[in-house]
Amino acid sequence: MQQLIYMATISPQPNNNLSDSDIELLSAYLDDQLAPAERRHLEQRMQVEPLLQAELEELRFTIALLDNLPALTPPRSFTLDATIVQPPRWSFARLLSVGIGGSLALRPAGALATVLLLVVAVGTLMYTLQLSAPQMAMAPMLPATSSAGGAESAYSTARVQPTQLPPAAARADEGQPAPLSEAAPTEAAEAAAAEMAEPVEEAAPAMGEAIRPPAAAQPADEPEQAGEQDNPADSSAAVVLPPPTPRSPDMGVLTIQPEGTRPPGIGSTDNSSPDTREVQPEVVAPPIQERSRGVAPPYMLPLLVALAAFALALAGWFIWRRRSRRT
Amino acid sequence: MADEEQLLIEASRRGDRESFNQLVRLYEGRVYNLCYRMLGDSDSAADAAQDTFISAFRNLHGFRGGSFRSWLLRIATNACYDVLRVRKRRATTSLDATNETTEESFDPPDHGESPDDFVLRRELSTALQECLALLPDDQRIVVILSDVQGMAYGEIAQILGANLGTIKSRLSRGRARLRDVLKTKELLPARYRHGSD
Repeated sequence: MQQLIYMATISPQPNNNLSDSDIELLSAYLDDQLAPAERRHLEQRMQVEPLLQAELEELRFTIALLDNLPALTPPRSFTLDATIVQPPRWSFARLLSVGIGGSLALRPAGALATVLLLVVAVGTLMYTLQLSAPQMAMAPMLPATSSAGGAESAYSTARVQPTQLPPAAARADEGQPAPLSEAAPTEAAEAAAAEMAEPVEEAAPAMGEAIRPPAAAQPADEPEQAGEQDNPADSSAAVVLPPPTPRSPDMGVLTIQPEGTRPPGIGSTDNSSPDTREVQPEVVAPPIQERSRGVAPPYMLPLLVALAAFALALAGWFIWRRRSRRT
Repeated sequence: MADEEQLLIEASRRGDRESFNQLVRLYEGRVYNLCYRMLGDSDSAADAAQDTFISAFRNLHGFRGGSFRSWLLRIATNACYDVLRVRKRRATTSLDATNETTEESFDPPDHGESPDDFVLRRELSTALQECLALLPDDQRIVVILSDVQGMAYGEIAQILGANLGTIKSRLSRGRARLRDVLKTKELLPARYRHGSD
């Protein structure tokens, strides 16, 4: 210690004439980090450059002072006990406690997880409500989904197109949901619509005679032909046709594909053939189940679950990144 | 020693807290001193050291071998940076705390050390700590690891995750800056210099 104090008395004034590279050389020289050639060259320079030698002594003095700093005794032991070593701080509950005393590092992850989980929860709720809602509530959505074209469009139009366009249907074209037939009470139509998901054979008798559809291939823009098809032979088709669906105003603009583009078995220009009319509804019956579920797509639930998993994975990644930075 | 340390590490990885505590006893002095020199007050240093060992225990699976001491000091360095970051955010200075806590935590006089020497040693240490606090963080950590803890360039580079050239540069600039502070601020009392003559 006395030696250090003595060295302090002989320290020259600050010397700013040396370059940074020279000081770096001197620092490395003191740590014996120079290559032999560099070392010899620096020693030769120091013999002729007193400034370099003085700088070396100052740095040596500074290092000696630091080296003599006393080692401090820790104020307490840092050994771990059971109360200190607890489960990780990033428990799920803490992740969700955004901004409530949580760690600053965890708040972004918690906020992200919370927002995404809320989105998933709302989406799941909407999905559930859509599944449980009556089919009547979903009817206005049908045109949008049925306009995809192909056999589905043809089927949809044929399904809701009465053989004889009654006044009620005309009211529907004006924008009001209307019973499909004067003969069929409104309550019956609603009940039949509510049973949409049930087998077609069960719902069909509630339709009544007036809602018997024409042949599936009957174009919507040819109502005259539809009227011509209303003959006793068509009654057999009603047995396998689905129940009526209330029409929205847009339903009237649905068109059936031209003859040349229709899938085989969907329709035929031979309207007079009773055999064809009997078979057609059976062929196109399956799509009605798909269409009724198309409002709430079946892939919705897996999508929501995947979104939830993604949210949790993202939150975990944030935490892992934060912790790996510290270690 | 290395084998024994490796056994303790393996046992700690399996959740043996007592084995890890033996490692804590081995390194707590070095970790605390590093934190103290970086932070300048004993309370912050003790908290940072405790956080270091807790973090190390929880992340032992991330230790890929090599020098356990370097790995531990890297965690301690990051813990100190976290504290310094918070301090800067709160715009507080730790210089006043340095004066108080240094005296509190200073070791008692050694046998054979005169009271004058003890006082001299304490004041010189306080002055040096104040000078260290004036260095930029990246230079201060290198100066502490090299000149206070006596580590080689390679280990410092490993702890800080930097290359050797960066370590050399930071160290020379830190030393030069510290030298300038020592001289221009005249932190060494004149009576000590007179007493040495």
